Amino acid sequence: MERRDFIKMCSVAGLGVVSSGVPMSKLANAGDKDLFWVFVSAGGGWEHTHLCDPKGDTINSEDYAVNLDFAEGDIGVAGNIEYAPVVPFSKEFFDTYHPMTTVIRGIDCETNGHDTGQRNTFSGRLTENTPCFGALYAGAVAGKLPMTFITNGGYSYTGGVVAPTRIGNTAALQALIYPNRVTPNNEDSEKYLSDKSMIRIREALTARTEVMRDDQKLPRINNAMDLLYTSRLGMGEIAGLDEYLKYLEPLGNGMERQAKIILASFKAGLSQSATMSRGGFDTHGNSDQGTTNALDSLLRGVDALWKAAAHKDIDLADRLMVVIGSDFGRTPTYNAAMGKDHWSVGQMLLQTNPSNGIKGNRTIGGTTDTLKYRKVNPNTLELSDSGVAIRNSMIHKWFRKFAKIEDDKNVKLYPIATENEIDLS
Amino acid sequence: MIVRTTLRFRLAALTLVGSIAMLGAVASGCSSDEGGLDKVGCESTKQYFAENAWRIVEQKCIGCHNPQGQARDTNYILKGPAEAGFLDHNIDVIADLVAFEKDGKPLFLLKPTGQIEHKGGVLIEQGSEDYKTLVGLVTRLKDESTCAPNIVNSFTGVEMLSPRATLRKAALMLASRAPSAAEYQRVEEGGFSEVESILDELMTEEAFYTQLKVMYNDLFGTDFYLDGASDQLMDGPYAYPMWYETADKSLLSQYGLASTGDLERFTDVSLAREPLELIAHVVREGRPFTEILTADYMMVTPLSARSFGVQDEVTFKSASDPLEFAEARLPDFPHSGVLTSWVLWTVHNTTPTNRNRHRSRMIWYWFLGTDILRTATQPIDQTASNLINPTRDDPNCVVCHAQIDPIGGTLAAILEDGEWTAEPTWYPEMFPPGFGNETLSSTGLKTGTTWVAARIAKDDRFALAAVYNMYRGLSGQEPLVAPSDYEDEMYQAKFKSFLMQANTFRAIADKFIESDYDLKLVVKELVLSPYFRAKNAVDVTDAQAVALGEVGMGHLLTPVQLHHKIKAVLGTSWLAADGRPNLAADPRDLTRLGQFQLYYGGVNSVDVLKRITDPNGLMASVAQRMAVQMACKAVPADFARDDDKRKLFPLVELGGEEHDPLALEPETEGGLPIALAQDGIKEIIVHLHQHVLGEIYTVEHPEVERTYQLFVETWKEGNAALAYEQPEDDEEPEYEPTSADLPNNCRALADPSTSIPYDEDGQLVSDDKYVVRSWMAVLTYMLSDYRFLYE
Repeated sequence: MERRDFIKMCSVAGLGVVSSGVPMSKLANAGDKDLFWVFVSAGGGWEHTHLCDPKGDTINSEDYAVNLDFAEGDIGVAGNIEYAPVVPFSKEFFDTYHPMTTVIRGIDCETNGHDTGQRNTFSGRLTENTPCFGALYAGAVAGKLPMTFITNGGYSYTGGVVAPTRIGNTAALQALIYPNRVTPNNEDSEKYLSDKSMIRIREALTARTEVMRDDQKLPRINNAMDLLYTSRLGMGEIAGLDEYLKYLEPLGNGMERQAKIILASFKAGLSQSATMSRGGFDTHGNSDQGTTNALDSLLRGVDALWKAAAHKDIDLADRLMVVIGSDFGRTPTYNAAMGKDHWSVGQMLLQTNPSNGIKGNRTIGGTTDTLKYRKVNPNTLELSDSGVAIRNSMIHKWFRKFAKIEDDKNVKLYPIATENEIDLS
Repeated sequence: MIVRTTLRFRLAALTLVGSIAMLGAVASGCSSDEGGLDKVGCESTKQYFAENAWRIVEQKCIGCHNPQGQARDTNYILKGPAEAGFLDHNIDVIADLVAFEKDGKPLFLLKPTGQIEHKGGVLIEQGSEDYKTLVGLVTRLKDESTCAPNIVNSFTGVEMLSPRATLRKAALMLASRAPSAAEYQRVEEGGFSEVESILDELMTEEAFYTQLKVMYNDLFGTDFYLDGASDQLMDGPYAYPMWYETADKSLLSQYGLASTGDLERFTDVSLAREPLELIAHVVREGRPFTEILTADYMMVTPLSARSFGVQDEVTFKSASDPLEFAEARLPDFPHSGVLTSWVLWTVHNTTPTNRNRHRSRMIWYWFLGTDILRTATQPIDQTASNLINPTRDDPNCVVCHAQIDPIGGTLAAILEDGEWTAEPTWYPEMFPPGFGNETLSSTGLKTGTTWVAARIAKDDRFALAAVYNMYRGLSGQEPLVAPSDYEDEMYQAKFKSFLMQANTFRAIADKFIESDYDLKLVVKELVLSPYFRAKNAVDVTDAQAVALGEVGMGHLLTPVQLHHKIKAVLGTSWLAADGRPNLAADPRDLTRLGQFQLYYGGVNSVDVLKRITDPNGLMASVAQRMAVQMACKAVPADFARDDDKRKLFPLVELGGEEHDPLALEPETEGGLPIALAQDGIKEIIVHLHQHVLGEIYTVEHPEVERTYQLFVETWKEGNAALAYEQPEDDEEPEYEPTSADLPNNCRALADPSTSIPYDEDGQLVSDDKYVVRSWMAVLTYMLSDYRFLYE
């Protein structure tokens, strides 16, 4: 048997061959220059003036202060990016990452409802049942990878374009990597069935599924068969996840753990996009403290992501694209509970190596002293009263172009209609 | 002069779902014309309105004629597609409107064409296509002979499950078991009529109520507090949170518990499960489902009764069951079914600025079939509002808040963390507490939940919501929303898909109401509908494919459903080494999930709330691990059973004699075929396809041959490996080391259901002919298959 055939057969059989060097999925899904996209969701609608649109406690034109917990003069600056000084880690974060960061301020979110806001931020459409960008991208670029889109919460609707993957207890992972071993952690373990038997079973399953799928005319059932078929193709490569996770141990908890699993999966050629999330931003009460806690955790999570990407055995920092956003922003004024309520203006952060085609160290857009969005010239992105409001639809329209997926058949099912376009490169 | 003519239009009762069950895919119906006035006789006015006129009404009327629009004070108030039953509501409104005429012409046509004053101006030109469509609608609305939407015709070309296959699927999903031989026999003789009878019986089994609770927990998320409920219970007039800390130790022996920690744990479960148990109780007792909102009681166990101080007021059947639920009433408390469930509103809490809006939103979603936030999918610009009270005065905000805030106000007595107060207050600047056109009096706040519960229960949308919830539970899919992108080239097909489902669900909801809210009827109707039973179709065009997009379930079983199916089919469960289920919670401690439960797309009601319904690579691995381990466990165990108790490998009759499949080898040692044995093996394969996958094949079927080849090739390889001598040098061996003994984990040493060891003769530890492992390969194959993992 030719080795190529053997690898293919092993892959079909769910037998790990990652040690061969080139994961099967990489053979099936070229695109070594495709970026890995990670969408980081601040769940609940973040208090964006505590991140990169700080105002401080100066009394504004409507006689109130947007922020009570820091002075305008204490606002931090890293390159061309301003940040609120309330989260101690923010200085380290922006000092480190500002060269690769684009801040988009004053986004007209067009909604102040959670579900619609999340959908709009992470898909660019207000319309129900729109897949998130991560799913569309994974489907277009690497739809055959066994875990092409990893979800850790946030807006993760896939619309059946790809199957989302959630990674649970890593202690149980060995049993999934080596399902035929009686003792999964022992490479000399007795097996339930011979490898040849497993290959034979997988071939029979594949042949049977193809017959059933060809005969099936109801789209829902046909699609279900197709997804099951696809999910089996790369089962054997899951071993790569375990292999690269070892480099990143200890995995930690929360977003750090999410980040490390995502990077190991990217490195193993199993996944192409992912979400990370941190809740706690819906601060209708005691907003300053609640936001500070949640933002600290969020920034440290993103930091963990970049550090994992930069690990010498992962080495994917140059191929990572990180989008950090939230449902919307929060009101300029405090309520009676010292909280802040929903506000249809927000912000988004993009982070990637500028060599990928997106300039860093810049801030686009802005808000007034009462947190109303300011318009920009769509060509220059300079603030301009005669310009246009930046909307998520415009950002995502550009995402699709930038990622070269706008002509994908699934992407075209969810068109973004915008009167104006912007270029974020 | 404007006059009102006598209206003769009414929506015909839609009771065709049963017909679909009986007929399968049949017939062609009457076709719609383009606004013409002929063919009115057999045509559904609703269908005509939905397919032709709704687009015009949505684009040209609803912008002003909505509850908050400029025309809000007229009699022509329409509902948008976000609201359950919007088509029926709107056609009723229009039917009423067309009765008003001037000079023999309906105002419905005169106003938008500017023939009489219309504050919205001229929207439709006389003689235009839109005008003709509305004329067609008016004609149909005035015609007495209009008929119900032709649901059957919508599914023409769709192939349905047989009565037998329907029964199997329903039994596995509703009762977590396979049908008995007697039940199959009844269906063979009585068809769908018997399926309905057996469904009634299945829905008396406790497994059905377990499923029902899972469905509603997916909505309520109250299992969040399976661990820690009592810690959240605040001190108050009806709350004794830590009663167990000072409890009489005799309680431990009475309920068979080991420690105070057990008392706490079971109390937590009792408190957390209260609303789910109330729903199960209402259905179990055969009461109208509206009682889930109107019940003047709550559900307690002997332990949670102590949490509420009513332990002396409740009678339990068992003196020793700590988790027996019974009705209980608190004194001077306005019980309103689940609307006064403490744990429900603790999970769904509120804040001083949220003011029960989230709770109201969920009430809309759970009990009125409407995701109110869908009305917020149109763009709004909050910053453009300079109004002091935008939620009351800004149309952008009012569109949701006019719906949400009144119901929120009726929950005024429910405080932020779910506590109840006898002295509620509310916010005068908000829309006043109420429901629909009714306002709750300020003195009624204390009993606001009772007030609103009674009104929701009577609302037509309550029935639709119940249908939606059951559909979600059975299929894992969301009910369709009417498409609104008219530029989409597939708009018509998508709308048709929506309409097919809307008509089907409406028909079920109507029957539900007629039955005095018998929830089991909803389940039966859904099971008999094409959404449950469709299995294939004839060749379809792209547009037909879109229209049929939601037909047929293609439902990946949830982890718990798969757990039950494994047990139902194999007679034994997939368990971890410590005896806990791999795909379901530990029955002794519901907070401990199976080790693969989340991997396989399950939820924990804590931080993982949405199920994954499409398989990924890891889930495929879970399925494979399950298949290979269960084959290892089930095949030897079945062979070790007494002949008459085998599920998988019954004796086969060959040439007038019974043979044990364990003794059947397809060839002699010399490689000559043994025809009799080959026939026997194929008969067993036919049996396994039917038993494991629900497929009925003859021995000549290609799938039987495929499975047979898998058996034979595995058997040949195994025997070759058994005979193979491993090379002593570095030469690559042709076969893995293979023993005549079964792997340790696969040996049948004891009865799997009783754990009583077999005597030595009854044990199965060896497989020197490789027959057992060949059947293990076959079973692994089947347990990994689409038809096992999906329903």
